[in-house]
Amino acid sequence: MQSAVMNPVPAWSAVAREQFRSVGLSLRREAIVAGGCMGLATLWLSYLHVNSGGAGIPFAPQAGIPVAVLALLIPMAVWKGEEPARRGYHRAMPVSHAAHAVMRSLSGLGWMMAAVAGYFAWLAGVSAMTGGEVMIGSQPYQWLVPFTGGAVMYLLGSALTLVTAHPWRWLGGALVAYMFMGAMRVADGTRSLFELVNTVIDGRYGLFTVLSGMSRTHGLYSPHVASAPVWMLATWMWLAVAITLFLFAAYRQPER
Amino acid sequence: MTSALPVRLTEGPFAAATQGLAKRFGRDFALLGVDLQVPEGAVYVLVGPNGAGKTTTLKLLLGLYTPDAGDVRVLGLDPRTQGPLVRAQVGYVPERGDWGYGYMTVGRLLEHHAAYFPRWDWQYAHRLAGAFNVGLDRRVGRLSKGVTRRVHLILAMAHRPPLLLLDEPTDGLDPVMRDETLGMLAGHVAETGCTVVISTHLVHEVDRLADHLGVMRDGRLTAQMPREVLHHNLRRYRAEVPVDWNGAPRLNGTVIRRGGVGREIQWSVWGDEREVARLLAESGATVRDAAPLTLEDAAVALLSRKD
Repeated sequence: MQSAVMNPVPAWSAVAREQFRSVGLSLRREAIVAGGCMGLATLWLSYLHVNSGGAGIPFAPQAGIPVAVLALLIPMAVWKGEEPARRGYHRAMPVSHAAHAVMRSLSGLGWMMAAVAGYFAWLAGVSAMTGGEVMIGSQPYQWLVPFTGGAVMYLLGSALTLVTAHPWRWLGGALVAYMFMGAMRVADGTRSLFELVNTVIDGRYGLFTVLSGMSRTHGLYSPHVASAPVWMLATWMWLAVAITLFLFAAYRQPER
Repeated sequence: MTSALPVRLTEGPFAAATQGLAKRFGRDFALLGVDLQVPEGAVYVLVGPNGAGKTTTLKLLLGLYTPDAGDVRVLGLDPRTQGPLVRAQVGYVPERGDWGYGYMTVGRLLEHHAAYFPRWDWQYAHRLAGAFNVGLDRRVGRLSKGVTRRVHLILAMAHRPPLLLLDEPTDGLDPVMRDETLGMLAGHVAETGCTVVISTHLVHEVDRLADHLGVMRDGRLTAQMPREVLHHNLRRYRAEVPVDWNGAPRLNGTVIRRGGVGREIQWSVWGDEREVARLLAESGATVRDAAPLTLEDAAVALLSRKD
């Protein structure tokens, strides 16, 4: 058959546009739930403010940390029902598998960034309504933390979702293993491993620093705001790891 | 005497062809040395029991899996290096119905699909949806298995691909809808002249469409042939045999299936009718009749063959 009579492949711009729209649609239910929760929270805070004159809700960058942590779970909603590791509908489309997976994941990342921005907009509104303090933070970069930390977590979650049909099991397993190591750390063998894992999470350039902009150093238990170079280095390191794992997962999806 | 079952076709060109195709999952071979040949414009029914390797073969044609050995060509293209272009030429109905996208309406799913196929024919898609009685405003996640199947068929057909790969396309359809669906498929084939590969273990359902048959067992393609060759060469011989009959040793290797009661045997034998009848007569049997098999009976006979 001559290529002249063959059906053409789609333009990437058309695929990207459609992916962005369809991912938005797939996240609609989660968005409605989140919007509902924020609506209820707004009503409750308004009630408290009007009736008992409660303290104003501060508008602070740290308030975005939970959103960044939740970003780990968003890829599972992005790929809801799709299970990329099982070679379903998404892979039967006339585009490169890996680039298509990257495109869908990045569409989800775009929506997640919009959600973080929306969350801050809501927080600013609630804060203004309740007369809360606007806390700039000691480091201006702190406003970027929920976005960059969220991106790291989202990419790690995407890598997991792309390589396994059961990301929830892996996440749950990792959590249980961590708790088990914590409980059993009196034993020499698990103590060193537990400490190593803790260093990765909680060390100077650990995930905690990336997600919070805070650092536990100098033997202090309470964290303090990390310096800009420390935060930037930690963020770049974790972003590089997350992007590498994500691309590896997208380009090396297992066959089963 | 007698020729072995054909495993290669002479006519061409082929819309899909594989050579020595092998695929392994872990230590187990799902396919081993498959030489599939689907002539252009054919309706090729790939029959085999569950686990025979039919779905794996279709996924290899689509480039969803990478072969461990062998060569694959689809419309002259290599799915390993030209996967997107191959998939642009193919309408695919998967074996599994749960393809996700349950949060979309049928109309939105068609819109989504259309974005990937620049030659998507909306008029035809609406015509198919009407014929299949599929409401475009219904949520995909709430559709029955049969309706989901019809939606998949619309997705596969509405961009008028030159090749349809249908994995158990009638699975979940009630008899009336199955009949209507196959009628629509026949109309589509007549209108577009496309090639169709249907994987199934229910041959009777696609009997009226098939013009080629391929038989898969345990990851191997044990036979493939045009329907007329099958009808001409595979016949059921009913014969009366003497009390101490010792069989027909010269037919060994060509008897596909043995049956019968008492002194009457019913054997399905591959070969030239006159020669088979002569060899039976030489063995002492009295041939009463030799009838061609239906496609389903032929498939059952070929699948139950003891090697």
